Amino acid sequence: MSIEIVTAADIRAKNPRRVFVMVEERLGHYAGFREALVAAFALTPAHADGGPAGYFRASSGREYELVFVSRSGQRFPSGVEIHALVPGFDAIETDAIDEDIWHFLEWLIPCVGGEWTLETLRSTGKVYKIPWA
Amino acid sequence: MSTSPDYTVASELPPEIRKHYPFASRFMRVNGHRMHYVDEGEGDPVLLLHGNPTWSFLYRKFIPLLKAAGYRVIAPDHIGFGLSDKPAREHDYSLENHIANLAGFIRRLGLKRLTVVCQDWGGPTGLACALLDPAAIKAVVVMNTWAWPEPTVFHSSVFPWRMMHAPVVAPYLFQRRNILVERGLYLSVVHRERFLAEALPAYRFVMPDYDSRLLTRVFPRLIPLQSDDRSAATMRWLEQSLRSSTIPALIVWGKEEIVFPAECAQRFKALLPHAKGPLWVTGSHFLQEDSPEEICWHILAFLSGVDGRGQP
Repeated sequence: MSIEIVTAADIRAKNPRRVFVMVEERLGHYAGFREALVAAFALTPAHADGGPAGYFRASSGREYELVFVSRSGQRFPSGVEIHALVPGFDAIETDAIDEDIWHFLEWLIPCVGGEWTLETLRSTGKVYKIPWA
Repeated sequence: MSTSPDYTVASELPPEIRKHYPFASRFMRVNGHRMHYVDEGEGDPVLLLHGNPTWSFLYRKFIPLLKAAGYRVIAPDHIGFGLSDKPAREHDYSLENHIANLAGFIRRLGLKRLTVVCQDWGGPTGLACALLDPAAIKAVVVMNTWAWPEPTVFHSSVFPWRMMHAPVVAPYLFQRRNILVERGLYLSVVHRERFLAEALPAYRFVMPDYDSRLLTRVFPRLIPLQSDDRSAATMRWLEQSLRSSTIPALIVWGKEEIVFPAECAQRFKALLPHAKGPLWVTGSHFLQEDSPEEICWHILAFLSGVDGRGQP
C-alpha cells in the first residue's frame, strides 16, 4: 500500500470539496521532514508566493492536496496542511482517511531516511494500536 | 437552542464523570484565556499541577484528603487541557507562556504560604512559579518530572517518543488518533483495569476532537533535546535557580516510572539536598492514579513537619 504523487492536472475528482484533514505547523521541528517534502514535490522558494499545491492519490483512490505554508523567519515550507479532495457533497469516512494518511506517512518516512525508519514508524503505530501498522 | 462548541458544553460534565469529580468548576481569565480550576477547603493552599495529557481530574482523590486535613486545595487545568480554553494554534503554546499563565493564576488568587505539588509538565511550570516568588511558597512536592535541559533516554529515543512527535506524524498520532489518551495513559499506570473503568472516560471526554488535542502534541516538542532548543534556556534557568533554592521540598517517585526514571529523582535530590525523599510509591508515570492515598499521606506528613505540627 503506497501513495502516488500526482499533479493538479491528474486529479480525477471533479470539482472536489476540500476537507481539512490535519496541519503540521512546524515542519522544521526535524529539518529532514521539510527537506523530504521539498525534494518530493520539487518545491522552491518561489512556491511561497502563490505556487501550486502538492497532490497525492492513495491506493484507495482518494486524492489529497498538500498546501505548503510559509512563515516569517522560517525556511519554506514552514508547515503543511493536508486536505482530502472529496467529490461533490459526498460524506467523508474518518477511518478511511486515517488509513490513507497512515500510508502517506509510510511513504514519507523512508523519504526522510537516516534514523527515521519505516520499521520504527510501524513499531510506534503498533504500540499505540494504529490498525494499519 | 445552544450553539456552543463541544468543548464549552464539556464543562457540563456528565454524571458518570462528576461522581468521581464532585467539585465546583471555577473559571478565571488569565492572559486572555479562560482557565478552569477547583478550589476546595480552607487553610494554607496546596496547588496540584498536572501534565500531559491529563487535567485536574488526575487529582480527584487528593482533593478530599488534603481538604479534610485542613488545607485549601486548588487544582487548575493548564490552558490547552481539561475544561480550560484550548488555543487552536501550535504557536500559541510555549513553556514560557505556560509559566506565565500559571504565575498569573497564582497572583490573581493571591496565594501565600503555598505548597506546589507537581508532576510531569506541572514540574517545570510549577517550580518556575515557585522560584519567581519564593516568599509566597511554603513548600514544593516533586513527582515524576524534571527541571533541567537534558532529556531522559526515553525522550531522546526515536522509538517511540521522537517518532510520535515528528513532523506530520505528530498531528496524525496525537490529534487524529488521540494516542496519548487512548493508549498512552493506559500504558503509564499500574492499576490498569481500575483506570479503564474509572478514569479513562474523563480524560477522553475533554478531548473529543482534533482541535481539542493540540497541546498533547505540542508539549512533547517543548522538551529540549539540544542546548539551543526553544525551551532549553528556561530549563537551564530553572535548574540553576533550584540549585540555590532553600524552599522545603519533598520528592515522591513512582517505582514503575520509565519516562523520568529513578535517576531523575536522584538528580532532584542533588539539586535540593535538603529535600525529604525520594519516597518511592507504587506508580508508573501517572502515579496519582496508582497511589493517591499513599502520596497524600506522605504530603501531609511532610507538611506537618514544615508547619512544626508533628506527624498527622
